[in-house]
Amino acid sequence: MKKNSGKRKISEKISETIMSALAGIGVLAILFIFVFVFLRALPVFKESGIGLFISTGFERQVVTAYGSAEPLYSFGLLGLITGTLATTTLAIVTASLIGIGSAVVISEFAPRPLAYSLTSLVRLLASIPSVIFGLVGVIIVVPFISSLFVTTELQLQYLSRFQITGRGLLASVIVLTFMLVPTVTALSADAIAAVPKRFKEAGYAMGMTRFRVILKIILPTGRSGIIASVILAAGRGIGEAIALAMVCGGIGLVPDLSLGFVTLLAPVLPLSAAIMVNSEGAGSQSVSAALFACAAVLLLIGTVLSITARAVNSYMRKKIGDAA
Amino acid sequence: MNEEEKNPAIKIENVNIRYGDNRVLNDVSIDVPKNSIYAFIGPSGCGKTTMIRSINRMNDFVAGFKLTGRVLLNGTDIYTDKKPQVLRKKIGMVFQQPNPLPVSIMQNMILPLTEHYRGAISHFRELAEQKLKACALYGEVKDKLDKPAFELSGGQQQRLCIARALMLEPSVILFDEPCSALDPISTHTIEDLLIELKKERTIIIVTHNMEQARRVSDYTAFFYNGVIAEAGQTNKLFFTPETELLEKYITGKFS
Amino acid sequence: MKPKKIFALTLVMVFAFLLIPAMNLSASATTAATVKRTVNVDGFEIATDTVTDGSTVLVPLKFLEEAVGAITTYNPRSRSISIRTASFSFSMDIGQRSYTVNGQRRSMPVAPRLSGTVPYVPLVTVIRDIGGIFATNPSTKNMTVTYFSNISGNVVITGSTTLYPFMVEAADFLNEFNPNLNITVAGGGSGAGQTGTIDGTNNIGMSSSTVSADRQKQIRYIIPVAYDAIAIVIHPSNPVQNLTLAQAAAIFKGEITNWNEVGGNNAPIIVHSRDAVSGTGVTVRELLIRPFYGSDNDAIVETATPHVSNGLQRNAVASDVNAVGFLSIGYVDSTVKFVSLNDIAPTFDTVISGAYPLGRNLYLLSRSRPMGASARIIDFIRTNHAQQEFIAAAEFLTIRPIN
Repeated sequence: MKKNSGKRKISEKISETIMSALAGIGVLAILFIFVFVFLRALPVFKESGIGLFISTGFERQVVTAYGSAEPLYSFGLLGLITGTLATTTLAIVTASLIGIGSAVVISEFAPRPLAYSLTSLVRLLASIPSVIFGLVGVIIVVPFISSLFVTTELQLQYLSRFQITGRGLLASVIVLTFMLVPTVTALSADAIAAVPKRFKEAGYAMGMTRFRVILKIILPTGRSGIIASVILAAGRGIGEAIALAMVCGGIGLVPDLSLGFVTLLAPVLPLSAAIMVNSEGAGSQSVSAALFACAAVLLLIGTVLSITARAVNSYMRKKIGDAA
Repeated sequence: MNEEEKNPAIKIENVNIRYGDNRVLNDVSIDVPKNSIYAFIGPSGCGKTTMIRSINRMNDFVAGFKLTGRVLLNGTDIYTDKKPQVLRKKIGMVFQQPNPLPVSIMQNMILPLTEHYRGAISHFRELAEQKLKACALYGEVKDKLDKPAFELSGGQQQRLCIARALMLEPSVILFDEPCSALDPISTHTIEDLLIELKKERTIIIVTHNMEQARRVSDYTAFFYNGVIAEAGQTNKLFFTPETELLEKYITGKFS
Repeated sequence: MKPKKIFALTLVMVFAFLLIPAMNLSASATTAATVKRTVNVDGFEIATDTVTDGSTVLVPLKFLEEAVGAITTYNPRSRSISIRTASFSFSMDIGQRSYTVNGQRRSMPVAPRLSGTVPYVPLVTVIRDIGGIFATNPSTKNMTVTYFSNISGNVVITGSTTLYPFMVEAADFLNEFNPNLNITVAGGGSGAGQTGTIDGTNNIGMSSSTVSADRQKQIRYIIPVAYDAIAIVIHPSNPVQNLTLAQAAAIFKGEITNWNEVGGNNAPIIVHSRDAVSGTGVTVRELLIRPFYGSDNDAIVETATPHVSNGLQRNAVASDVNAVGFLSIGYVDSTVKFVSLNDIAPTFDTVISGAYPLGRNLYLLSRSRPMGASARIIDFIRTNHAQQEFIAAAEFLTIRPIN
């Protein structure tokens, strides 16, 4: 009897050690990526200083750096940063509304067999490669925006500042929304379906309507799953390069709200798209460092996103303590 | 027949229930007198749970549910109304598994009020404390009213659900096997509570525990295979069962 | 004489006269019959007309160009032939077995001859002299040439990013078939390619720009391997047909902003271009903008919409009636239309002749006569096979028409 339990202890210890080692490798890998990216971007951080975050003109700077014999490390990423933030924020807001709404409809209103097929369909959509959305963007979304909003008068009016071609912030937001809705829907639907039936019954038994049960019981209970889906979608949105590169307009303008609606028609250049578009120039030292600087900023944004998400979640959890 | 029996709080009249093509209840008629505890007993699958859930129209959510006959609350057919939500304010329900929401005790308590009424939160909290006292729970939770309800034990959670059900002052409360997930001591506490509560309202309880039915209820209906095999005053039913079925059930020959 | 005898004599004389044209009077001036055969060159079957003299097979000069990448010329008046590979220079004459290769006098088994007006030379001689292996299977008589699959050495190629994509593919291909060969290709730009060739940091340089007269003193071998032409494209419904170079430059500089300034409709000119690091974009700046605005001011207008590839830019121009853009000539299709520049349209002929202003050669460079593996690589790029697989596939113009 004694020998038996000894054997088990050893094999347990081995599996524990292996799993800890694997987890450690995972953590180390992430740390390695961070360190590697930041080291490669260091020359740019040094030479650009704070200007990296407050000045614009990235595309122009890349052209100069690429053609210059001496390495140049001064870049301004403001346009790219605002491009990423504007595109992702607007897309996330839209995708969340549509996605959570769809998830509610699928989980709560669709009859069981239909709900199952719909969820499978949505999961399939969530795994479509992004380049396909880029193609759809170029072939359908951009011409659609063009025909709807782009007039010669408008083009002439803004020609000196930027070209209005249908590519730009609006096209990027639409394409990105399409990409993110399935992710939000699939995961939110899971979160909503996971709400125990008895919670819903408690609500109905006290005379709540379906809508109120959804609003006050289902969504708050599924909150962490729903927020997780939104965060996941946001992460995907920030990193989306190829689809956005095809429809964003390629010029890192800071969205100028004073233009009103035309802000949506102006071109933008999100960070990931900028990296993709300029990746051919990575042979040049300066350009390579610039691209790593973009990557470093992306990592920063992603980290801030992650931290914010957890903060929001724990704040909401704390609200239980407050007496309504 | 006494006064209460003449004007029953709930009158179930020739009710047939089917789910799709599946006949579940056949020609059921029950009069539930005011301020009484009426127990539905019977073996699994006999239809007692379906019956009780039809009284507050919780079965409306089930696909294919069809009820013919009438269920009257104080003389009005509850199935004529398009909106069952109003009905459920008048008829409360406590479920087999305690179902406090994943919020604080106090938030659980005042939710029924905030959903249906405008008023000062402090006023709602006062009412909540009253009901908690009525359910003999207040003393145990008064220092942790804003803590999560999940931190309570099973028995406490169920008493919380009962207290919550009281918040809307329903005239009828339905109990669907409320103690089957609880330990004997909590069960005992809740049984005492039921007897106390019936003074002001009518209680219908589904139970598979015959001792509980005998202890607690004034009237009992014995369901078997979708029909009422026997119904009447509890003492009479258990002491002198008229049907062989009931006698067998009582003596434990089947459950 | 008896009439019978006269008749017989006449017949003989007539036959004799008839035979004379059929005979090759000078030693090698035979109008030989050509036979179509295939030669296996490093695994690829290439069909060619041949002439056989005894056991020696002769091939037309064209075959040497297409299979081995040689540059050949024939002077019909002096009847002299020159064949040049990267490493070897042949000088031959029709009818003479004696020839020179790299100045050395040697002798061929049979003399070169004409078939019609086309000169044929002995294949075995050329192949063996340039360092290849020529073999004929004694039973099947099938001919094999081994020239690109027995290369060894380390070769470094650096320079223009325009050539880089196809050079790296060709290098990978050769590396695969030659286990003892290691070619590395790197970018860096035409400038870097030229300086690398001069100071010896590469074995072969790649350049998409011309080599200055000054540098030509130090880069003795400048070998064209492809043509690049940029077409200025607009929407098919745009009435503009032609632009002067100055107009085209001004458009891409953003100084001409309305089509009616160049004879078109009253509409804004929407400029499309390529991303910051594209070679095609660099070409446009070098060839179109720089001559008018100087090299410090050759950037395309800031507001131009950049695209990641030729294909995407073409799609953008094809879907906007007011668009203008530029494409590598191989990308022009029916969805867009090119404008002629200074009334010259971009065709194979105008590009090769230099008449089309936005055309240029893509060169491989060597400081001195290429030797060994470098020579083979340069020859390889010029073969039909490589031109088709790597040059045409990269949408550049090949150095000779390939069907």
